[in-house]
Amino acid sequence: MNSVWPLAIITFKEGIRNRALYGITLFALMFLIANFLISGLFMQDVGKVAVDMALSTVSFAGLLVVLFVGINLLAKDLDRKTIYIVLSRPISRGKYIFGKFFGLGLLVVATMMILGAFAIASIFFIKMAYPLYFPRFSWTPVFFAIFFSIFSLLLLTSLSVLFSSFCSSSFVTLILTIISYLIGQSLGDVKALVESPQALGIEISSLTIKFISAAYYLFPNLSLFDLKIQAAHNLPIPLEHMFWVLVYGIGYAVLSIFFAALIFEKKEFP
Amino acid sequence: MSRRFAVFFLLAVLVGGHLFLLDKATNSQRQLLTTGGRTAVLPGPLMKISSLEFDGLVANFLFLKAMVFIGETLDRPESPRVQYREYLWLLRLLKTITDLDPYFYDPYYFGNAHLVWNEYSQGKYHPASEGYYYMQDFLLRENINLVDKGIRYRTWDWYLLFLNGFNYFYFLGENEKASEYLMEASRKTNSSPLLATLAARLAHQGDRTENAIEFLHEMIDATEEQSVRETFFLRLSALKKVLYLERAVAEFISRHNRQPTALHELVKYSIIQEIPSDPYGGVFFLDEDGKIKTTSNFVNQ
Repeated sequence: MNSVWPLAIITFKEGIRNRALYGITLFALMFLIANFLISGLFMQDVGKVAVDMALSTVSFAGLLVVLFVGINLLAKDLDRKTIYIVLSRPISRGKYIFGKFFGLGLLVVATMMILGAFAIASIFFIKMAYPLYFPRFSWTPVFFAIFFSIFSLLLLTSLSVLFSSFCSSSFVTLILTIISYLIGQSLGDVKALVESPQALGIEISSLTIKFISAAYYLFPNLSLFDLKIQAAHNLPIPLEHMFWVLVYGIGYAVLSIFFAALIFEKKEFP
Repeated sequence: MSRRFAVFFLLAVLVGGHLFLLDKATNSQRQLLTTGGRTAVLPGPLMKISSLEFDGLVANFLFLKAMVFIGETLDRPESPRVQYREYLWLLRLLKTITDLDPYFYDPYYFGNAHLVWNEYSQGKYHPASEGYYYMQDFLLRENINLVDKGIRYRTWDWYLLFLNGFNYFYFLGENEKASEYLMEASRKTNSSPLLATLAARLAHQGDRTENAIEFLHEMIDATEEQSVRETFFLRLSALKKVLYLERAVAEFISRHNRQPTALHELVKYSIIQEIPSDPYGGVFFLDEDGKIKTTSNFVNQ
């Protein structure tokens, strides 16, 4: 642990210095200000729209951080060949992976906390402006939604660490991570659809169903972490559900980091 | 000096040119055959998959599109203002929006305003005039289905129940069905106390006086506000008298094998002692269709 922590801190600091981070934060801020104008356009459910917009902005900005700042940081050592200097130090390759993951995780959590605070501020001001249009609003599910959004991004980060452990170029890691994100977010809906194809009036071959179930077990089900609709309408979120989703997320992240460390141990550098 | 002037001149020309070209390009765009703001609508399940974790956000933007579309039709001079196929598009769009976020209130509210209150649903034009061989009340029925979907999800909401109650009552003339919706609506918290008396009245008109009485008892038990309770009691006593008369008429029919010509016949053949008085100050009478009615129509005289 002693050698993991300094590496995590260095990764975090390096991430904070990344200009892209400021760009993403600025984009999120502008969107959160626009939220004020956009939610005012709606007729009745202003509260729902405000919460939706704020939470979606935070999730999307967080996603950009993981994809463009996080993966960039992971690949830097390999691209610039500084990995030789790091590996010549008394730190095992496994610990190097852990350190990188913790640093990235710290970066994601810190960014999301700041963006989350802005989102909450934007909801707060809209609520002040249209107090009558927030009949079912409550803050608790909003906090839960942000928390779970952070968690899903950490899961995605762990996957990107896994991909970078065997991909030679950061671009391939990026593509694989984006694909995993797309699959992870839509897999739940796709599986529900193929299991009841009469909803669309289509026929689905058994091979497709097998293929989708295989993907279902392989990729993380990121849609489990999406509580935006629940937050927007203040629908009940059972504690049991939150507990199992959290444990599932931790389990999957640990698994991918473990694999990443295993692969990285065996990796040969040119 | 001359260089500075040249730079300034060039800049002025470029900026002026930009404004001119922008104007030209936007104006020439009008010559394109456009869809008039209406684009293809993906079915709900597909849209749900492709909108990833942003279901709610996509629902918001699709709904904005629906509002902008209707807004743009407001200054159309022609009649009907919105074509039938455009309403069908709006219906598809609202269905997809409510598939993405079935708890979203605005699409139901908006749909009920435009799919119901239009020249087709009100019978001024027939869908066949545009080559659609749908039933006249197709949009209305589809809208009722849409609002029903909202009712299934928004279990706390009384207003959607009220909307469909109104649709059944006003457009379809199905009082019994309307009263079911209104009764359900008045059981929700925060609903208007007027709903309960309205529901009871519709149930009576739909030949369900016993349902109406039972329902009012239930509402009186659930209500604390004294003035509201009093209006319920008034309606209850009136309906009990109506039920009394209805049963007497049924008794008359079973004895004499014909409808009584008037309520006085019930007294004449000593089925009842006297005709009860209407607590609303009217007089009960037997209508041509065999129903018990009152001159007050259940409104205080």
